[in-house]
Amino acid sequence: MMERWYIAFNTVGSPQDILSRLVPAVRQHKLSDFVVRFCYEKLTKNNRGQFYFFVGVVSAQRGIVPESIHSEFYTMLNRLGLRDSGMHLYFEEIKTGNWISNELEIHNLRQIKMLKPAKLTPSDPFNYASRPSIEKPDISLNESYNNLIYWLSAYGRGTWRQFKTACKELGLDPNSEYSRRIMRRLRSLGHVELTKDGQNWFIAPPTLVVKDSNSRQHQTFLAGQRSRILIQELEKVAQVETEPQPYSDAPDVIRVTFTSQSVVESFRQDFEKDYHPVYMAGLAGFEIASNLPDLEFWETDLPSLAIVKANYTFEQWLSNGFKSIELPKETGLYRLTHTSSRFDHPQLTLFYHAESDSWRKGDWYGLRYLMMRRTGETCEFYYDHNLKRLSIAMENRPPDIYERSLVLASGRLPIFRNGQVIFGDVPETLAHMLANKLEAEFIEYKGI
Amino acid sequence: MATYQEWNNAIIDYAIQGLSIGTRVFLSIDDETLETIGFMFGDRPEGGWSQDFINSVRGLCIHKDQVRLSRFTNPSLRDSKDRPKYVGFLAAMVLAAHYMGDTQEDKPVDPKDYFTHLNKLLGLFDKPGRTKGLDAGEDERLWQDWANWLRNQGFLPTARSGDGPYKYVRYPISQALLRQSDKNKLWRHFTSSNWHKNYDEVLLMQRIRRDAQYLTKHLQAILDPKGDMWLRSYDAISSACYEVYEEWREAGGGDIRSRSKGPRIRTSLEAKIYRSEDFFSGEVDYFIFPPQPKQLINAQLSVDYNGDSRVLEQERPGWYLPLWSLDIVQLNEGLKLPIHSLNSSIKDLYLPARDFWVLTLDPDTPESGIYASWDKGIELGTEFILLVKEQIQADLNRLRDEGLLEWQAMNPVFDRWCEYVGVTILSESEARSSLNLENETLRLTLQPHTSFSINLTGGLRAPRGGGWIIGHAPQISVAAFLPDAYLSVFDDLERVIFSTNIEVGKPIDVPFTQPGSYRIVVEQSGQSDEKLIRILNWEDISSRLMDFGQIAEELGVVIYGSLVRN
Repeated sequence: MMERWYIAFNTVGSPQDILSRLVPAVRQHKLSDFVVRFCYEKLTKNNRGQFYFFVGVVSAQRGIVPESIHSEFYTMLNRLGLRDSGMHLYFEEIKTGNWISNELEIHNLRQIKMLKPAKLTPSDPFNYASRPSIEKPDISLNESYNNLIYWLSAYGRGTWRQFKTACKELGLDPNSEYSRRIMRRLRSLGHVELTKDGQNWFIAPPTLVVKDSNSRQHQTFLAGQRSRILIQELEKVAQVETEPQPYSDAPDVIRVTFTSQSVVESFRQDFEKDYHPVYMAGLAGFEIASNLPDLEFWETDLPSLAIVKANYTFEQWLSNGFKSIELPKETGLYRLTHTSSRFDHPQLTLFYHAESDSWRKGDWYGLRYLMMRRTGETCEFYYDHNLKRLSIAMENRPPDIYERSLVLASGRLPIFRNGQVIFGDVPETLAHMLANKLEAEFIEYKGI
Repeated sequence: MATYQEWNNAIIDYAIQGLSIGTRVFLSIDDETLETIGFMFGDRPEGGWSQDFINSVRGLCIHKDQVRLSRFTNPSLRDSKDRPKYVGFLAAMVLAAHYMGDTQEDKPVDPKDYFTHLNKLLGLFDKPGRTKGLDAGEDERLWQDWANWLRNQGFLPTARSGDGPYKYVRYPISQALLRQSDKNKLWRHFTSSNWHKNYDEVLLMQRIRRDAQYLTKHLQAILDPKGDMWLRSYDAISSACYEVYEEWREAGGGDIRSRSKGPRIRTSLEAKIYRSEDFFSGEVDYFIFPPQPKQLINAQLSVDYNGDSRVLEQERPGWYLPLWSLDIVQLNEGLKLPIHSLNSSIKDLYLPARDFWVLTLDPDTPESGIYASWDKGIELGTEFILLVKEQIQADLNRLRDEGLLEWQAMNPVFDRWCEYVGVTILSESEARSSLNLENETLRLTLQPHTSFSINLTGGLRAPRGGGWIIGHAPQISVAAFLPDAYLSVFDDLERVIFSTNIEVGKPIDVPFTQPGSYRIVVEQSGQSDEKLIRILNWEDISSRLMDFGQIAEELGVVIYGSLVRN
């Protein structure tokens, strides 16, 4: 059994000077297995000049320098002008005795050199409040988005951190700013789901979604889990077309046109036999919208959080921005920052219902929409009957799950124009149904 | 009775099943392993599965008193599914090396006697010297093809030739990890030293290393931390020793190890713990995390707890999905839960009471941020979490004060339990042995088994530890106590494609331009370590089979993707 002990030297001058001579001397005299560290009292104005310098060594017993290196060690000390006066201590004795009056500076020899892992800080994937949308398409990223969905399909499930890392690695989010929006778009397209706390994701089932069309052919598009083999097999029995999203900021729409319903069914049976099931979603936009609750029920169904107000500082959303406040008193949208630094607490964006003194968690657009409705602001849905387009002001974007029903009407993400978010190929009945459920004013434009 | 082909395929499966990509593979076949593999064939034949295996090899490979390798080398070494046809024969060669080791007891293995044992095994009793029909070096191409096949599957081969006249004999000998005499000695040592029955694999290995002087010469050789075997085969040595320990524990720690006439019977599973952190509050939960031993890959198990019953479902080869969360009493006192199984002998799942747990990042997807006690030990250059009882804190402070350990934060998690987050080892093992700590187990557990390590960071990983996607390979760095090291990268054909001096602690990019398996070798101060990196095409990854109904239940959603659940 070896012991680690320290030789104390009462000396004058500069500890850095001693250190700069000692470190190479230990290597030169091949004493690295014996001398392991140095420590000295941090210099202050009062103790400038004289100080203790401790040399940490390892041997079988305190005070015993092994025979094999005895001469080498003392030769080195002599050369450096250091004299062992027999003050041999354990580290505890240095710390608790009268040897030092100030903090210790420590220098270790032969310490690990390693790549410092990047610090992982928690973040909320539902909170995309302050990140701007990318409005210029970057076609060069198309392939990376397609690869992202292949990668997600292969994993099937994973953590939010893992998703962010993948987005970064694929060049989609080099500065870790856009992963939340990427995730939101994938959810809107019915590709991925998040757990309620947002910290885990699951790929959605591989599905053929029927597109509302007057054509006799059976027009569908793919949602959820996808693989190259699925597309290759589809190509054998149907017409498969790839269409980039409006801003090339999500995986391509894969449009699949079958000649008849029976071809769809026979494909599904064959593919399931060889690989896995492929589901049929019908008119997913309608199906989803029909099953969504009204805004009031949606609000009560949001997860509620118990917040100890003393633990947070608060900002309230007022006139398109968060403003610091003392304590929340009014119903509205708030940003909460934890005062403790013990954990890496994420910043929270929550809806506060003053009457019931309750806090609700949800997606950013959803909470903002709720705040607007609950504070008496009107939200307007403009529907163009001719173009089958639904336009909503950017600041009135509906909760994610409602928006999903609009996106899945066409399989395409919305476009942005003049402060409006515009969804294409939306049947009037669907637009009307959503406006009703979301307490929005439905304004129809029928053209001239 | 099983055919040679059935044995051949079953041995291949047994050798690689449940292993992560990049693992070193040993063809360590002995009587007990054959009994375990044979168990899957059905009713045990009268002479035992070991003899059945030998008969199948003799039946196919021996003709007119000599070996006929052409039986599985013609027209190809591989079958229609590209699986090697000769592994049964190589296993027989390893079995002979085991038998030789057993008769030589504590003496070093003498390769001179090897053919006597192989001849006997192959039924060529009166034939001294080299086995007839097996010309010098003829078996080498089988070993080399086995190595190539393993590399293509993403594993690291371990069979190596020797020097001098016994060059080729060294191949089978290099695969015989623990001989009966080694196992017997370990068993006796566990009993005579009164070892506890609650060691995990990491602690067990540290104790075995500490007591190596009392063990056989062969064990001393393979446990030598500066030896090639130790550096390159630590995981396999550790698993083999732990298997003996589990056997000893199952037997109640008796004096004499009786040689098994049947498969290894396992009646209990030792649970680990799995960490989960509440995103909003930062509160931490721990879950029971059952491992899945190789023998249980096909077993159906269900476990009871507080009136609830759950089927153990595979999370990945080697692990079941985490079960219930643990409370403070269970963490303090341990837990034993009954297991029901119709096709295995497992009776219970138990969680040992420990003073501390070491939690490391998911080895297959470290970027997931998931920590669990995977029991792989601590690797230099990586951060881990220590969940400790309050009384351990003084020792940890001591280690930090002496510059041996550091951490980013310490948080209380349960009453009298704390979590140390972002812990890293700063110094060599020898430095820790110079300190007096209250908890000896802590000291042993916190000792990495190497003095440097290869770390792979970043890139885009394929699922289930399958490798990295082309164009998104990881960066390579070395964690060590000396400032530099030498790095070489070999391709599938063992050609050096890249080599350089590498500054310790600095990541470098290696140009992996083609898909394939690459061997990364790092040398420092006369020692070397290696890792395997597999680079895949996008086409190589396929969709994961999912139970979407169950996931929807788990998520508690009515709308799942584009589907509305009825």
